[in-house]
Amino acid sequence: MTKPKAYIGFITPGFILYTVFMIVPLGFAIYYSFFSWSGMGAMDFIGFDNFKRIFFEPRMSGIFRNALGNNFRYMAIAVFVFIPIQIGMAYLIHLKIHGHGFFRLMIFLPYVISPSIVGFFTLLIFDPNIGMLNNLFISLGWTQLVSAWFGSSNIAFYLLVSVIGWNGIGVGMVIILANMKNIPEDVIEASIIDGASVWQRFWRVELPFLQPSIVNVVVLSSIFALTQFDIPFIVGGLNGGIDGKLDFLNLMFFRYTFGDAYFGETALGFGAAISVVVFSIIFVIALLQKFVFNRLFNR
Amino acid sequence: MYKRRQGIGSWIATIVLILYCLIAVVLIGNMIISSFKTKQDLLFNTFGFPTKISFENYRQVLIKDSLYKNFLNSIILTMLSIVSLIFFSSMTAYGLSRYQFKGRQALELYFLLGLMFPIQIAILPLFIIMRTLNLTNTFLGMIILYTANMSFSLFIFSQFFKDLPAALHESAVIDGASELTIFWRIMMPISKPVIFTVMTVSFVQIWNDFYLPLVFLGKRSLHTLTLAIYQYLANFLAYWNFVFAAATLALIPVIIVFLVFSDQIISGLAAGSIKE
Amino acid sequence: MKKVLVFFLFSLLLVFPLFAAGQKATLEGDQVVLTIWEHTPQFELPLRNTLERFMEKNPDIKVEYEIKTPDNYLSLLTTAIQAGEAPDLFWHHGTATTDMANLTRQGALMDLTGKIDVKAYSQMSRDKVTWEGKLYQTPAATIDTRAAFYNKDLFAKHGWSVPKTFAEFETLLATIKKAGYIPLSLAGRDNWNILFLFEPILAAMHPDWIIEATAGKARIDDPRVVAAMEKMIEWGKKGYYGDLFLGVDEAGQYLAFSRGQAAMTVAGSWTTTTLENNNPDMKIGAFQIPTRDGRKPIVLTYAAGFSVYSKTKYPEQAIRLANYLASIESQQIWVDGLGAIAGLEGVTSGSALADEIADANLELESFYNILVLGHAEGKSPTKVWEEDNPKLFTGTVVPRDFVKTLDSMMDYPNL
Repeated sequence: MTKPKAYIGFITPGFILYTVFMIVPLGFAIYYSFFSWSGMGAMDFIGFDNFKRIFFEPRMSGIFRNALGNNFRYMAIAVFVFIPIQIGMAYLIHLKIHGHGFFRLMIFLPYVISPSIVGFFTLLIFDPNIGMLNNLFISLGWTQLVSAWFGSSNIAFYLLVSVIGWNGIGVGMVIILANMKNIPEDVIEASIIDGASVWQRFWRVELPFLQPSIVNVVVLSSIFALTQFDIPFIVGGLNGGIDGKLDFLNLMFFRYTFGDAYFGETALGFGAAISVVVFSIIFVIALLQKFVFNRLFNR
Repeated sequence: MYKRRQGIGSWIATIVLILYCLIAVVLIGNMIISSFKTKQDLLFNTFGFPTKISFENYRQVLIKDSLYKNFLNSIILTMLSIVSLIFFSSMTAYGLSRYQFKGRQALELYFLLGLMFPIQIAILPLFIIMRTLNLTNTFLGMIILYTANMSFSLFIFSQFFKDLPAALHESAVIDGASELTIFWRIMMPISKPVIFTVMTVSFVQIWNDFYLPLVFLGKRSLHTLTLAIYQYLANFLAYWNFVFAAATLALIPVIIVFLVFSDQIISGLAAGSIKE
Repeated sequence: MKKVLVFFLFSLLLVFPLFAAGQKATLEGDQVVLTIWEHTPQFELPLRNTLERFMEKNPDIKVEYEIKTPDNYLSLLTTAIQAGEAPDLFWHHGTATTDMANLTRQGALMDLTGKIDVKAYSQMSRDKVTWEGKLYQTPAATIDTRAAFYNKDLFAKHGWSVPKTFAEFETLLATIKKAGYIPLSLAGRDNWNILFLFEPILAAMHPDWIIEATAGKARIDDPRVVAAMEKMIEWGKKGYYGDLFLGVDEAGQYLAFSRGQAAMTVAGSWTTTTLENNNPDMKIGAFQIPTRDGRKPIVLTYAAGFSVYSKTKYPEQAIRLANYLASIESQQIWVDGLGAIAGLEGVTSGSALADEIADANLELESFYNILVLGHAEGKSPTKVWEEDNPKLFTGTVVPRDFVKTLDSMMDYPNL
């Protein structure tokens, strides 16, 4: 690549904006985590006490581990179940199967609906008394399928994951689809001439070209999985749903920082500590992923 | 486009996808239909067609509660923010991914940090910064904030730019083009699918954003549509008939954006310029 | 791309007027502009009405209000105060939570003693807004309570009547269930609605405990509290809340009632307007769950009003507004706007239903308040209560252990 100095011109404006409005505030947040502070007035320096509470205090660490577990489980589902589905859907649309334009819209459209409305939809469908599903099952006579849905400890988590998936799956799909559109035609044509089937074409020829978007989607999905907040908040409430099955790290952060918090006041210091912990976990995972992908794809 | 055989497999795929999309169709369709129902109708006939079509809800929402003002606010704010965001994030991504320099990896990770923490924790220092710059309760301030929140777009752009062939760049340099021209005239047009993608997703994110307008656009005349809808949602059972109407209105711009920028227009362009 | 640039520049032209309009204009001509913050959209209507009347009477003052959301309100307020940019007047919980203590400690509240007229208010409402002998907030005439709402039409149709004793109430629950309705719809997913059910049960079963605990003479770890919790769980097992109530959220609870699927529901008094609006055709009545010996207990919390920011630029005008907000006229507007119960002489309750709710002869403190008032320094039993009370129904948390946990976070200086 030529003229190395030009990159400074490209990067600087964005760099300044980003640093001033995102990183500087973040730096303050990290600073707060070492204090016991309600957000107003006196700040008491307490070193690592906030962190010790998160990891070692019996009640808090239990809540933390439960939420962390949920986040990780969600991440596993997002990466190993949702991404293949997204690739599959993108490919089908790319192949222009019948109705592909309609599908592209309808798969993406749920993302446009704000979380509150999504929460409302879950009421319409899953409420045990007035919801669509139970009423449908009763009228069909399939009463054994009638359930408390989000009131059931066993399925509440998977139900929530499905709802979040329905809402957000379009985003990853659209990213992958955009990548597909840029795969050079001639390579594809060459493989058709060579007699490759649709299946072989996909695995051998097109998939390698999808590296950028798949890396994208894996990293983004992981980060989103670990920072989930909106929909769990609306559907499960701040306290993490039935038996804490719908508790996520950012929910925990929110209720301890702003809710009627652990210390009986808004606890900005403690909340900052929670978000620093979450942030560190995400950072480490993102770092690992970057490392793995760079090795794998030599970029 | 290369020819493809539409065999049985294709039909099965179509049917499966139809079933999946049915959920969205039913829900969103219900939402739109329900916006034309009266309160009583909603209560007892939640899932059916309106027994009597009523424009009551829209009248209330648009006229009495002047939601069209919020609608306008949202449109202006979102469109300006998108332009600014795409402009800055693509430029920065380009700088990050087309050039090799020391510390590039670190910088990439640096720009990802924005995705890793909830904005609420940083709200106090952010508020002080905004206030010092006299940017609270202004659209300009919001635009700056949305632009600064570039981690997502930047990440997608840079992954994409990394993949563009070097040959393109070199041939342009031989032709005597400056770096900026190369970026603007050559790389960007090729990136249309990615731009469209980022634009659509970011449009939705900004359009639906609740927290930043809550903090920085507190003045009621500046409220976005999402904030206005919240007034109905918070008092849910009293106003849920209005929620449907307002939410349907909120849906329209996004569908338009999605359809208008459909890549029917841009397909084919990509293939052309990469051919060597 | 040129088109994009042109569009950008064109829109900048649009932005400038917005930019200018958005500047904080604190003086428009000779008018002073005050800002007031409220915490929930549910109060927008009464706030708007009362401010309109105030501005009619005080043409030299313009008041702009900002309504935040309940979840974010406190953090936004503290952010604004910390940044030195607080609104001229703002709502907060007063002494019901640690709000009052925190805000006074920060010096954020203007001392209003002697500056506004609160003679008409009862001691209980004044307690909510006074700290260390000084008045810091306008008192409020609205009382929040809970009540059992019932479907009058359904009751008439089946010949059911309002119970006069606790035993009658339990029989009524069984009867309604047999008739095929949900006796008491409940949001098993919502820890607040569970609280609003628990408090009347506790008040009906052991008002003596509440009275003792309010005076600091009883602990949370008390068999009477355990009994009330176990009763609440027992009713759940008997299906009195509907068989699948664990999956119901707040909206679902009220909808089941409004649609006639549930004959009764226990909810806060602030939901009266919502329930009435939801199904205007339904005749709704309300009663307090009676004690075993036929007394009518009522769990009460007095609301609180607005504080004046100590560093406001317009103290004279702000105090004028505060005075108006504390006036009987303003309180009447407020009570009417919410359909609420009035706890002030000279203010009539907002609706007939409010009167039915207030038909009681034993005023009791709320359980949640007892936790707030008695919490040990640095501990938050309310947080534990909020997080864990739904688990009572799934069996993950057992009443006996639960009260012990809560108890360990309390201070009992009188015991």
